[in-house]
This record gives sequence, C-alpha cells and structure tokens, in this order.
Amino acid sequence: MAEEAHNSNSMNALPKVLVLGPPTCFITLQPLYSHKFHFLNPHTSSLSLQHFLHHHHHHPSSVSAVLCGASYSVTANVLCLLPALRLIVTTSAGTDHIDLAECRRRGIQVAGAGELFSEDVADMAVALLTDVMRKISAADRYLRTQQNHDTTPWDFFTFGSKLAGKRVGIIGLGSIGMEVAKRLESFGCIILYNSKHKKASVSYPFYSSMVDLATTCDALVLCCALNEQTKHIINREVMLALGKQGFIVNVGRGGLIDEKELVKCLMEGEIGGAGLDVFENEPHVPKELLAMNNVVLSPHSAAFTVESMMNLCELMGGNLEAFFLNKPLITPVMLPQ
Amino acid sequence: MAKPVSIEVWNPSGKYRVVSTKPMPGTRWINLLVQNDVRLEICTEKKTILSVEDIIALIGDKCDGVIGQLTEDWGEQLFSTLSKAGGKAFSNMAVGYNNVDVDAANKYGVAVGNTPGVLTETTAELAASLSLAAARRIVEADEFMRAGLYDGWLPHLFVGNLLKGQTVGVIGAGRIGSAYARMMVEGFKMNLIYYDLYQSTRLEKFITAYATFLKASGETPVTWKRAATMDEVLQEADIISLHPVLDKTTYHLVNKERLAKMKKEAILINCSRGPVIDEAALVEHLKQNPMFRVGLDVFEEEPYMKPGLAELKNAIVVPHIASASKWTREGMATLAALNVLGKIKGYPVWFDANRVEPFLNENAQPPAASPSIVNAKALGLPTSKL
Repeated sequence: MAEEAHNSNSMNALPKVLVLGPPTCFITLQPLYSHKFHFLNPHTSSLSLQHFLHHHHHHPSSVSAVLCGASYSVTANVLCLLPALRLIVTTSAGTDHIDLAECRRRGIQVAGAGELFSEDVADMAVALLTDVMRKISAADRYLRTQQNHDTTPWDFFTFGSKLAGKRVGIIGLGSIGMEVAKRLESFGCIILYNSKHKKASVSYPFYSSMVDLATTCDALVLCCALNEQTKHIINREVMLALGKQGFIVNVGRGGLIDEKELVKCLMEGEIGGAGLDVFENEPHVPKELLAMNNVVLSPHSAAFTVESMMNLCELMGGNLEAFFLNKPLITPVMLPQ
Repeated sequence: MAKPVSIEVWNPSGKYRVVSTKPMPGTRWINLLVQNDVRLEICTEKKTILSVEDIIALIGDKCDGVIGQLTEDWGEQLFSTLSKAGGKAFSNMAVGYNNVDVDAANKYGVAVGNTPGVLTETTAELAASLSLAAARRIVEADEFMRAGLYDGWLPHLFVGNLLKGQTVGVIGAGRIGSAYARMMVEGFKMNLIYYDLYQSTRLEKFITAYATFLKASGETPVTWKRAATMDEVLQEADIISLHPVLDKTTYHLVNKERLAKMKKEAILINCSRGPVIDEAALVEHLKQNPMFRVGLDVFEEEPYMKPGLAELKNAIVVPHIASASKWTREGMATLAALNVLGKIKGYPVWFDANRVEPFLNENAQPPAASPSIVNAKALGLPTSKL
C-alpha cells in the first residue's frame, strides 16, 4: 500500500504530458519515456476531455505539454481547456490540424516531425508513381482473376508507361519534394517543379503557373503543405492541361486536389491515372475510385516504416525533454506572423 | 497433320513469305516488311501457345522466315521444316532464347534473332517497381482500400521498410541487373552486393563515384561488394533481384535450401525467367514466412502459377509485363522483323546488338542490317561496319 502511494507520488512529481489522439508512435514511446513524463491518456477514458482533466486530480493548470497526432484537431476550443499549455508536440510533418495562429497568440510552442519522414514519403511517392504507370497493382489483380483461364494474360493486359524520359512536375520542392526528385532522376525522369518560391540552389526548371507545369508534364507529384493558397491547387483546369496520358500522385494532403473533379476526370478518361495516399475527407474515399483500374490507393501510410517509427519516438521524446529542460526544441514549427 | 490455323495476310503478292506466329504490337514492323516486298502472314489463332504441329502448318511448303515467341518450342523439328521450306531466318520477339535449340538452327543454317537493347531500361524499371511495391506493401494496401476496409487512419496499417541504408542484392549483373542496381543505389541510397561470373567494372566504378559524391555532400556513402558466392548475396541482402540467363546451370537456382538462407523479412524479385525459381518451394516458403515478400513477373509454367501462389498476400504477381510498355513492345516487334528481313535480303549483322537505337527511329529508314543474330559467328555471317 505504501509502495503504491510512493509510485503515485513519484508519478505526480514527473512533468505531465497530455496525450491526444493517441498519436502514431505512442505505443512504442510510452514505455521508453514513462520514467521521465507522466502521460495523461484521455483516450483510455469514457469521459470528455474537459471532465477528464478535472478528474483524478489532473487539474488543467498542471498540463504544460500536449503530444498529439495528425488525426486530432487541436482547435482554439481545445486550447481554452488548457490555460497552462506551453508546448504542443505533433508526430506529423503537417500542422494543418493545429490552430497555429491561436498557439502564437497564447505563446504556445509547437514541435513537429520536421524532415523525419521525408525519405519514407518520397519512397512511397515513387512507389505509387511506378505502380500506377507500370500497372503493378492492376496487373496483380488481373492475374489473380485470370489464373484459371486458358488465355495468355500478357496478350490481353494493356501496356503501362515506362518512367524513363518522362517529365515529372513536383509540386512543393521542400525536403520531401527534393527526395522525390533525386529518386526519379535515377529512373531517367526529367524534373520540373512548382513551389512557393523559385529555389536558387536547384537547376530544375521552375513554373509559377500550375497549368503551364501540367501542360509540360507527363506526371505531377504533390508534396506540398495544405493551406489556403494550396487548397485545390489541382483543379479541373490543371487536370485537363495534364492530359489523357498524365498521372497524378498525392502524398501531401487530400485537400490539395479537387477530389470531385479528379473522379470526373478519371471517369471521363481526361487523365491517365492517379496514385493516392491521402483523400479530401478521410476516411471517406469516393466509391468510384474503388472500382477504377487506373488508380492505386493507400491508407495514408506514406510516412510509416519500421525505421521512421523508431526515429519518431526518439524525436518526440527529445522535443519533450528539451522543453522541460528549457533547451531549444529539436524541430520547432514556425508560427504565422 | 494439324488443322489449318487462321491467318491475316498483308501484301499477298509479295516476293518473300514471312510468318509471324502471333499478332505483335504496332504497325511499323508490318510496314517495313511490306515495303520490302514481303508477303506477311500473321497467325490470329486464339490460342495461348502454338504447338509444334501448328507452327509446321503455318510454315507450309515455302517460307523465307518466321517471327516467333518465347513460349514456342523451336528445336530440331521446326528448324528442319523451316529449312526444307527455304527458310533462312527465325527471330524471337524477346531478348532471351532459351526456347531455341541453337545447335539445331546451326545444323540447318538458320539464323536466330533476338531483341536486346530495347529491354534493358524497361525491365530494370519493372524490377525496381516491384521492389518498391513489395517494400511499401502497395498492392496489399490497394486491395484493403478497394475492399472498403479503410475507416480511419491507423499508425500500424501496412508499415513497410525504408530502403535507404538497406542492402540490395543482384544476381546476374549484366545489362538489366546493372541498370536495376544503379536505380536502387542512386535513387534510394541502398548498398549493393552482387554475384556474377564476370566482374561488373562499370557498375563498380559508378557506385564508387556516387559514394565519393555522397561523402563530399556530408552524407553516408553507399558501398558495393562483389560476392564470391551466390549464397553470400542471399544471406546478406534485404532485397534480391534475379537477372541470370536461363540455362541448365540456373534452372531452380533459387530452391528450398537457398530460400532458407535468406533473411526472414527479405524481398525476392524475379523479372528474368520463371524456372530460375523452384516455384513450388517458393509457395511453401511464403506460407511459412509471412514477412518474406516476393515480386514475380515470370513463372515456371506460364501462363499458369503453381497452386497456392495466387492466394498469398505476401506475393505480388504480374503477367510477364517487364517489357509491357508501348515503346518497348513495338520496338521488339520491329527488331524481330528486321532480323528476319536482314537475313532474307542478305544484309550483314549489326556491329553492336546493344546499340539498336538507329533501328527504332521512326522518322528514318533503318540500317541495312540484321539488328541481332545470336548464331552469327557459327554461321559465318558478315558484320556491318556502319
């Protein structure tokens, strides 16, 4: 009994971290850092967040850090419940689920995954592009259904497109976009790009107009962040400019593409195909896409590899430690001015 | 006697008679033959693989040359028949020719053509595509989505592996194997281990230069190693891609014992020839090792798969599409047709079978040569000095 009380007291002495979501790596992270932080887990409770915070002596004023994932929206309403909050650590590279303006107003620091996932996401982008262009998933599906028929499958299965020599437009030449470019160059692709600004450090041709980029390209790969400027950056006009032999890959955010128009263009044969890891209204995926042979679909898993999970745990723990030791965050997120 | 097979005839009054055992992609190959006074007969029989009897019926009494497929059995019987009909040439529409008894062709003085040079990039690319699809579990994920099972983002859905820093193993570092190795090393910063009877100096130099570049950029340099044995590759590599020729020594090269030597979570890719792998042993290995993954473009008894393979989630199976890009397949058809035409016309053999671009330029007449004759030396055929 005394030992139990001692454990409880020592837990209370640890800095409190509120876990919202819970995020991706929490299962792995918790045992590694439970001796350093007292994790509060509302997801294990049936109570609302507000009631949870007042229950079991978890007073809101004792919570100075939050750990969350991309699937949890940290809105102004959530922030209101946490008056002492000074840090949000998100396991995602994107931050569109956090009200950054409100964080700035309240003096809350934000740490993200930084460039941790860049190579994993780039691998996935190229995997989706090669799959949809060379028809890997479609061919696999075809062969499994054809196996008992006396026909030569390769006589009837339609040709794919080879990557070599193709012009690929990368939208968002940040760390992920650069990694995608490097990979595609090894396949003999010609790289072009659109980004917020022209990059002085690269020799790839820059296009400020999405329509011009699409007109020139055989494929577009979306690697940019979702914000007011980039919402529906791929609209019908861009898709028509890309053309009937063109492919789109999205490893950014679903809202970068006008999904209704994408479905229409695919159904009408106005574009060649798409590789999608993200969707506009997740987890909803338009039913029409599920029946199409020229699309490859993935459940928002671009960032997740065995390696990235381990690295993510280290980074999240490192950011929390840095904060509680009054050191600079490892991967701070720039808050809007 | 086999019953007559259905055919489509082009240029009925042509001086030379050439038979194609299958319709082939594109029209350029047809036009080139017709322009050169060839009566072309294309077999349109709706049959998976033509039997020897079917092909004998197609050859008939007078035939100058045949364009055939990798699935046909070109041995003593067919070369004897072709020779009696006045035939001088046969060409596979493929780079491989393990379906051809070259000694029998030599005996009857028939030139045997193949179609290299046009396949390197596209086959290496497919091997890379299968490697990526397996490493990131793309096909499984796509199937999951189509089944309507996605009801929200979960951290452990289809967690794959990052390629950077892993080891790619290549067995057979010829043209295709080397091109694949370069894609994986340069594109994904993988380390290379390869096994080949011959040293691949160009590949080694390329990776050494790339490693130097990475080091200068402050990144971890990639490494390469030429293995002394094939088993060394199997034991050390995370992804293994097979690119050997198929002959008696490479039949069932990957068998039960060798599969057991591979890492439990390894990925095996085959875009070479089906019989290089003991497919029945592979099915068993996949069943017993759910984390082991495979990407297959070829099968032991095409167009069939060994029982159980199609049901396995850790296998990606595609129907021999390594060369299935429009440009590649049309190029193969053109090269096969020009191999036969060149021999009929008495042209020399092209000086380098791997540099066939001049034959593929649609805006110019092809060189007056046969692009690639595998038994040119045995038949004493002259080489082009172009």
